[in-house]
Order: sequence, then structure tokens, then C-alpha cells
Amino acid sequence: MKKAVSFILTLAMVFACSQTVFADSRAYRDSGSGDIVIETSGGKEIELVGHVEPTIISVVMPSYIPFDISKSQPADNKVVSPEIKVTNNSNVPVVIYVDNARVDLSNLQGTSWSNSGVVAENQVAVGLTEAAVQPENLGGAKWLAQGQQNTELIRLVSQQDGKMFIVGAIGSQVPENQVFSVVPTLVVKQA
Amino acid sequence: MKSRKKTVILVFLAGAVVVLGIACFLLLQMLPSRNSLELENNATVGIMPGIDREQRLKELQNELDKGLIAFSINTSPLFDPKTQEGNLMLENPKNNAKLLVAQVVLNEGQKTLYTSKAIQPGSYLERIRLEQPLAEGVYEATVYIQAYDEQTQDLIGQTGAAVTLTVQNQ
Repeated sequence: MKKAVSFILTLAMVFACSQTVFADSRAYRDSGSGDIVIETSGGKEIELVGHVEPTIISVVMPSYIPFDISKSQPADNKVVSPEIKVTNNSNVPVVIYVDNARVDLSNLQGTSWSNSGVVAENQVAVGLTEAAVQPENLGGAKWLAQGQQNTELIRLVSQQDGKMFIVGAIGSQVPENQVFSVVPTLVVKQA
Repeated sequence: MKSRKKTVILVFLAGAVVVLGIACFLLLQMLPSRNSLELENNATVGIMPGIDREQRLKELQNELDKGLIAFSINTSPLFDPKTQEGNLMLENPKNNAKLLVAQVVLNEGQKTLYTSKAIQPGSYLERIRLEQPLAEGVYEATVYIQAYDEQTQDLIGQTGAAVTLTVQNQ
């Protein structure tokens, strides 16, 4: 009886161990080069869980742009403008545009705003242009309109600096020695 | 007698020389001279503003550089429809030296959804809760970022970032 039980147990153990081998469909083949090749067949589901990281943009932009405009400037561009440097520190390209421009000409009696850069004798026009140095002419300027707009100014690839200048035109009858303000809001978005 | 006469003549001549000298001195004082101009008290010392273009450019550049602001932001924050909380992830870097205030405005209708308090340099706003709830969906918005002087809290200027708000169950 004992011999029979131990024989059955032995058979059971052998059978159980062999099931593992049969369940694992991997077979080991000697490639002959000394490497052991592991082959897989049959497939097994493995769940991969990924998290899509948010796209972060990092930029340096101006929040205030001062400039002078004078009829006595000899070139077509009547503005004395600082360099407006913008920096894209992101890993994605960005575009910078004018979202809104607030204009206050209350100190310039009888003066109106020109949205196009072509000024009558009692008009002022101001725009921005991408340039390496302050431009003397008005070609390529993006003119500021009063109120809401969507005027693209400059595109920057990842880790790039860009430079812009204010340009402008002023009519001959616009009063001098007065201050006016045009406040554009520059907005950045992923390109 | 003779020596007395000589003495009188000498004294007379000396007196005449002295008188002549005084007369010449007084005459010279009365005449107009190149070195006697009266200086203008109303004049200001220095270069007149508007004349030195290079100097003026430096002043304008200095003003603009003070208004530069750096920031980082999540371009597509995700909001929970129940809590209206989302990951805006707006950073005010340490080198800004300005306080930032963020305002999230819906492009359609220009409705203000959220306004932050002042964010100090070297800190960030990871999550916000919309003050005006949104239904599930995707919305285009602009985050207007106002910069304030850290000491005086005067408004320096404003810039913005375009974002896409998504409201959905996570």
C-alpha cells in the first residue's frame, strides 16, 4: 500500500512539473554559435500604462514697450524704438501675436488712428516688425489696430530668441510735445 | 628857495600821476569787457533731452528691459467637471522680480473664468478651481498675465498665453 501511494505521488510530481514545461511554450534552441536563443510563441497580454505629460511653454516676453515718435526722424520710419527681445525656452515652437491694442490719443487734439500704416496729415500709425536692427523703412510692418485682433508677429522654434522693433508713421498736422499711448497685449501660443 | 621849488614841482607831478592813474582805472571799469557777461540762472546743465539719440535709446531700452517677464504655463490644462479643478501649472520664475496675477478668460464671449492672487517670484500655481463652471467640452481661452512691481505693487504691464481648456472626467 505504501509503495503504491509513494509511486502515485511520484507520478503526480512528475506530471505537475512537466505541466509547467508544457505551459511555457518557450523552447531553447542551441544556435550553434554558443548563444542560447529564446523563442516565444503563443502571445501573452501585458498591460502598458502611459501618462501623457502636459505641454509646458516657457517664454520671456515684454509687458510694456516704450518708444518715441518724431516728425524730425529723417527716414520713413518715424519711431525711435528699443530692441524688443522675445525668447522661447520651450521644447516646442511658439508663435507670438497681438491679441488686443488699447489706443489713447486724447492728448493729441484732432488726431485719429490709422490701422494700415498709411497716414493722413492728422493720423498716427504704429506697428511692429521682426528685424535684426531698427528698420528705416516701413516694409513688412504688422500694423496695430485698435481693439481686438489676431495679428501674428513672430514665430520661434524651440530654444530660440527673436527680435522686433516698433515702427510708425505720423502725419504733418499731428500736435507735437504731447504723449499718447498704444498698449498692445502680446500673447504666445504653441505653434 | 630853489630846492623848495623843486619839491613843490615834484609833489605836483606825483599828484598828477596818481590822479591820472585813478582816472584811467575808472575809465577801464566803465568800458564793456568780454569777461563781464552775466550768467543765465535759468539754464539747465547737461545735454538737452531729445538731442542725444543714443542716450535716449538707452533710456528706452532700460525701461523695456524692466518690463520683461518670464513665465511657464500648461498649454492644455485638464479640468474635472465635478470639482472644476484643473492643472494650469503657471510658474513665476525666481529671476522675474515681479509679482504675477493670472486671469483666465474664455475667448468666446470674453468671460472671466478665474483670477488668481499675486504669485511671487520663485513660486508656481499648479492647480486652480474655475470660478465660473464649465460643462464638459473643449474651450479656447487666454490666460492674461499682469506683472506688478514687487516693491511698489504698481502695474508694469500685461502679456498672455493661449490655452485649450478641456473639461472631462479623468
